[in-house]
Amino acid sequence: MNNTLKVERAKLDLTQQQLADKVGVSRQTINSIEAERYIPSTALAIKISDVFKTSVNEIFTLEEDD
Amino acid sequence: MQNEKFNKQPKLLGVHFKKIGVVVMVLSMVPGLIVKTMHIVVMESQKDLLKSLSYSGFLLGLLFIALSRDKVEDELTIHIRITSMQEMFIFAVIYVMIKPLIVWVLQSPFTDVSGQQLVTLMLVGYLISFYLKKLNR
Repeated sequence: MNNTLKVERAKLDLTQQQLADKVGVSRQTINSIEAERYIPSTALAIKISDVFKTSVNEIFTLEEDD
Repeated sequence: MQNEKFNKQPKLLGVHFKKIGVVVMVLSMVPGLIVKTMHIVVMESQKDLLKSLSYSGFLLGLLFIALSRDKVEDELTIHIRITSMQEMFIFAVIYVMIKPLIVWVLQSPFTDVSGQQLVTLMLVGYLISFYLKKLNR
């Protein structure tokens, strides 16, 4: 699964820690999602998309083999 | 989304149980150290009881540390916990399966690990795996 978290974060000038605080997870979890080492749950994906005021589909996209 | 039966987070102990666990582990070693350093003469049955109590205290301390929540306990932490526990269960099952073979091949008393020692090994292994995975997340 690909994501544009880093880009979205840059648009709002948010640090990983600030985003983590907003969605109630650790900074390392945000880092793992950005590095595509971890796929977030639906609830967390929705919380993240709420912060960026966009849809989940615009931030997270499936790869061909997903 | 609070009523979903299978989405509830696993019940964990408070953060402060990490410290309590360490204290319990240290305290469990105190009676044995006192007996050894003060050269107190104890009967064989008392020695066994003391050993058993110390070991139980040590295990309880390890369990407190293993089951205490992190400062930020999020879904990735829970995922790491489950993965580490799964690894240790697989290790224990494989160990129990191949243990008779090891004992037979090596003919050594060192390979004969008791249930208590296996549980300790699992808890220590779980903690090592959990913290290493947390470092590399």
